[in-house]
Amino acid sequence: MFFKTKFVLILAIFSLSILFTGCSSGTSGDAGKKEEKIKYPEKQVQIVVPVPAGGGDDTLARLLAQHAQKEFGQPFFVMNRPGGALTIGTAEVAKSAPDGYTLLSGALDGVVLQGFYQQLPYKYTDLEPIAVETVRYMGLLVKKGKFNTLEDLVKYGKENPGKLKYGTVAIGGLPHIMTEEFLTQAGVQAAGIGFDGGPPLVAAILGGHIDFAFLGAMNLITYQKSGDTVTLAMASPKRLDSLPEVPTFKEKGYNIELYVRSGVFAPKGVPESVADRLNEGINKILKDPAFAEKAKANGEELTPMSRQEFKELVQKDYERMDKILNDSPVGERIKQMMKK
Amino acid sequence: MEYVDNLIKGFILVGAPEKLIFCFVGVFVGTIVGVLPGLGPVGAMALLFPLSLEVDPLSGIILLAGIYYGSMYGGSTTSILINVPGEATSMMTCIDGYQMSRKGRAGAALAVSAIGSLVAGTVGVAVVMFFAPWLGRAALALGPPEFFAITFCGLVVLSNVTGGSTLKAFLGVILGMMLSTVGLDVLTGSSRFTFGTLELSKGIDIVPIMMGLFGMSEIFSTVLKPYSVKDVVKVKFRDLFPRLDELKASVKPIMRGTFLGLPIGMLPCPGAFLSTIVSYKMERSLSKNPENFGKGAIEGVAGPESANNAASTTGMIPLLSLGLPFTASMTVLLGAFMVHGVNPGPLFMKQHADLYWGVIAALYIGNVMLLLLNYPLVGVFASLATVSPKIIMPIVTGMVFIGAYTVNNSVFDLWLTLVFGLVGYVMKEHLDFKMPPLIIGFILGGVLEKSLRQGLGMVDGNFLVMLQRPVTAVCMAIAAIILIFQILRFFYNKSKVSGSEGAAL
Amino acid sequence: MKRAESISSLIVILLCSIYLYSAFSLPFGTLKTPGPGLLPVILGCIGLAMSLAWFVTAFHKGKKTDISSGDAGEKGEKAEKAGVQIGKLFWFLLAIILYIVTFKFVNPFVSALVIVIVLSKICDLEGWKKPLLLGVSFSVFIYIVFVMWFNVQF
Repeated sequence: MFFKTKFVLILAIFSLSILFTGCSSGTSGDAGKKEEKIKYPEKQVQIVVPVPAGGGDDTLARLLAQHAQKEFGQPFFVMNRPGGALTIGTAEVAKSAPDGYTLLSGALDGVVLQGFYQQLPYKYTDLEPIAVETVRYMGLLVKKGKFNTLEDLVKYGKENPGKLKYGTVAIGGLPHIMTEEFLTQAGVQAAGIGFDGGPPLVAAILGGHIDFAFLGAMNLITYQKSGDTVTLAMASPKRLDSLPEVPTFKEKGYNIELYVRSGVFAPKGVPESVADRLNEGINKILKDPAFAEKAKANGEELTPMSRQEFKELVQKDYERMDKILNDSPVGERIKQMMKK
Repeated sequence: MEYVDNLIKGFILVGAPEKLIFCFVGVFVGTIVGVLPGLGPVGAMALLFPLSLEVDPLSGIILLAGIYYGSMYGGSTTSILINVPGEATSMMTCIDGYQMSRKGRAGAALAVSAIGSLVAGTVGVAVVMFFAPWLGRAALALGPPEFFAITFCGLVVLSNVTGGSTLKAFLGVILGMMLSTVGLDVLTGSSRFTFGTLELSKGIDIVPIMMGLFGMSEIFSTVLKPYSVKDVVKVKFRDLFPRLDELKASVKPIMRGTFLGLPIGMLPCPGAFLSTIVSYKMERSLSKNPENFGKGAIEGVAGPESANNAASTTGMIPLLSLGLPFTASMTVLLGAFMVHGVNPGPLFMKQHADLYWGVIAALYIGNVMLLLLNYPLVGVFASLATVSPKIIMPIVTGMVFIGAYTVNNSVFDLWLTLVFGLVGYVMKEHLDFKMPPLIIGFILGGVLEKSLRQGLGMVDGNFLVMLQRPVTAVCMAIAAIILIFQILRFFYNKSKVSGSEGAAL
Repeated sequence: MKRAESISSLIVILLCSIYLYSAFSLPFGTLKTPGPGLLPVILGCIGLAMSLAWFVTAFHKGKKTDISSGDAGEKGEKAEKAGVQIGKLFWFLLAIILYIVTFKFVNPFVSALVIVIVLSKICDLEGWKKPLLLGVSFSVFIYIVFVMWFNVQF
């Protein structure tokens, strides 16, 4: 039949092109679960990313997957499971088999923070911290023009309570908590508006629709260099190399440290040897200059850590969040906003 | 003119054989992805992301960008041939395209859509080339209140786009909007209508709904009323390509569609989708035979397809001029840029001029490649339309379900496709309920609600202040007028009907 | 077929009511800080009103056509033909349901092969050679495109 021959012809062209461009292969993992302790990995590993394709964490995970393939010798495959403010993807990993073949790569928010807001099918202890990837610092951004220093903003805010509008990505998220923390410490009242992603938030700032927002280092650098915005202060321990003229909140007398940490997790109960091997391999990748160069371009700072350190970090973060959300006025306000 | 200089430099860069190969591979893959229902450009771009990392920045970006607009061309193919829209933007093409296919004019529909896409794409790239920086900044002036007004106006004006009962169209829109609220609320994170299941917390994806509503419903209809191949007009080779009168009739819609799509694509809303609907409505209103629409009018294919491509191309403007990706595909592209160490912010044009102009040149070349690729395939695809339904239906069903699975790797989506297939079937055959309003409500509903809440937050709840902004005021006024008009007409008709009923009895 | 409209409109009324009921449990918020319940409540109300209107119009139209319906014989013949086809649809749906249920457990190519063969038999494709050929080429196609190329996970 005319149809069939054309079909076979097209099929042949497909196959030729595959060979020609040498597309990344990866035969489908159809093997059963062979759990051999030391020999890991034996088949392809799945990395679940709880954000949609293309977001900052996603790019990082894909980079990691690519390098991991060389390091571990087996394909590492990224799967996006966005939604629920990082909870959907996190829940999926928490519920999957702890054999080391399903991993989570994402911000600590999903593991540590979200449990305070909603009934989740997992607790933060259900995920075993494997390795830290990066830390992303955030700073306060305003459109160029109205405010030149942090003091200007605070003064305006004090004189006009409620007139300032700030934006945040995801109400209840870490940046939001920190924004409220800052406002409390500065004694300023401002109304918060939620956005569903970095780009709409930046667009709103550039368009003058909101007054200020906390954003990640990458965005701060881009728009400062182009002269559109001014970063009034950074919530990092010390000044960033890429933004040397921006003071830190600490210098200005505020006790704010805001960073988003991304790490790799596995379901609880994963064999120790597997977890150690993963940690060792990932840390090696983080120190590899080829990887570091590409990741740094994203504005990330790589922070390899040992498993014990990471575990302590997660615990500390959890307790910090607990204190803020349950014991302080900031927490009250945030919970109010979430209810509303 | 420095533009021409830079452009020539760009062409020289892209002219290198290996770059051309990547361009070709990109658009080729993009076409396939567009033809295959389900897997969209975002998914494909994400999956081929690692490949783009292995090569130099320009080739990598060209590859991914090629996938992006290649899929725009391919998406119309399944819409026309089997009434399955691969993406929301291909939905309007289904309406008249599929009817043309049943009449044996599939080739004409495919060809016209390819030509329209080329024209629109090229004009779009030219606009990007000349006006990107200014347009990008101009679009920033639009904030949440404007988005709310635009979407609200759009919902009111466009809900009745395919004719039929206005009441049912509005109801469809409302139902679509209700569906869009299922899931986790984006702004506060609270669960809505999820009834405790994790699956529903994700929200409902548009792709399974559309594939079920359009594709599976058509399959169910065909099972119940199989058309025999003899019924389909015997297709001669000449009929595989458009007739002269069809081409002539498409010229103006292509022009109008292009110019409609250009501005709408730049806005941070589902620009390409919106532009197809606006284009369809415009063509229908301007046509001398509006009753042909819905039965195979070529204007109904030419307009929306051109609008779609134009909007997709200008959709790159926010990314290229400001570094802000407003759609998922642009976000993946941004990721690719960043990983190569390129930061597409406002300084992109200056700091990486060669990359920028290389990308622009590749866009031109890619569009031409796509036409060269697609036009001959028109014949192949059109002859597929003459294959007996007994063969087509099992294959299409398989494709639809596997395609639905590839979107989110979730079996829940498969159930959704099935359920909506049944719903769509009932809607079509028994209820005289049109399907586009549902989809329009679904997609615009999300934007509407978000913008409303953000806008109200901005003005401290004082709705009237929102109306003081010029764009908002104009859009709301238009919407209000049309709404009042519709309501009055509804009551007028009802009174006429009950009046004549009374007379008959 | 106006009865179909009446039934469907009743179903929609039911759905809108459930929706509205759930929406009331969501925080409404104030105009200053609109909450997640704001739009759903509005939508639910409008939806309920409109579906009621639809029901009313469908009911009226139904009454009219019942009075002026055609001869019973014609209707009977159509019903018979429809009966045969509805049987086919039933098997079709059953096949799809089984396919979805077993999707995760069975190797995707096997299930693709099976479903295509089963469906083509339901659609009266003659013989066994054609369905087999169809099934195999479809499975191979899926394998090449989705697994080898795009590395989709099944």
